[in-house]
Amino acid sequence: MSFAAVQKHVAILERADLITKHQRGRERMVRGQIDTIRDVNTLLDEFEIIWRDRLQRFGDLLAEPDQPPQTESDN
Amino acid sequence: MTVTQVLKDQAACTMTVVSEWDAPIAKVWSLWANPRKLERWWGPPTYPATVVEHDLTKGGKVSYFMTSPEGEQHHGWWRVLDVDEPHRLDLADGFADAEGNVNDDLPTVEFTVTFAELPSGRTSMSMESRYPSPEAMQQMIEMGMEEGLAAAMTQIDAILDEE
Repeated sequence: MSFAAVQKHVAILERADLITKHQRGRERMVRGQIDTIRDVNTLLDEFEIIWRDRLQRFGDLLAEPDQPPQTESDN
Repeated sequence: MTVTQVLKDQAACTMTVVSEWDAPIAKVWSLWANPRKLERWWGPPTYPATVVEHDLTKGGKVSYFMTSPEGEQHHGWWRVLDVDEPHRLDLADGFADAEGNVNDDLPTVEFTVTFAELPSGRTSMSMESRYPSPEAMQQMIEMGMEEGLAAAMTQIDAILDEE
């Protein structure tokens, strides 16, 4: 996801009270607000974030070189 | 990662995510068809997925669980509605109880994933998800919040912190 897209999503979710941010030491924690009633647009935005996150890992895995066949180690 | 298009239909509660990969179609397919590969991308690193059953044939079942940082297991399943290797996969995805039994009281989402070879040798993958209703989507977000969205948000925050 591009940085601009990330910023857009975070802003949408924050505005809709779906996430809150807390400072903890040097870390910035983001917490999902589970019980906020969401409209359909926001719900679809959240599923988009979940899928972009998944596809990020999908791409990382695809980019890995093929594993050589495992050798039998138990005999 | 190259997500090329995201289409949302609010009235129909559907979302289509189109992506393009610099890999042959068989390799892209294998990330769904190989359970050891599937579990590496389905769940976030903080909520790793473990695939238990994996029968990717029509009518077959895939079962998995995701383990929370506290060691709690959250079970889910797919029902394979249709499959045409390596071009198309129709799945229903839902929740299961602690023993891995399908919980039909909780909402399920249907996925249609289509794969196509592009002239460039790259592979296009389109994933359409169909949710039953806004209420079902809300319930799924609530149940999946910890494992999916919160982890995604944490990673987004890490990206923001790099700025």
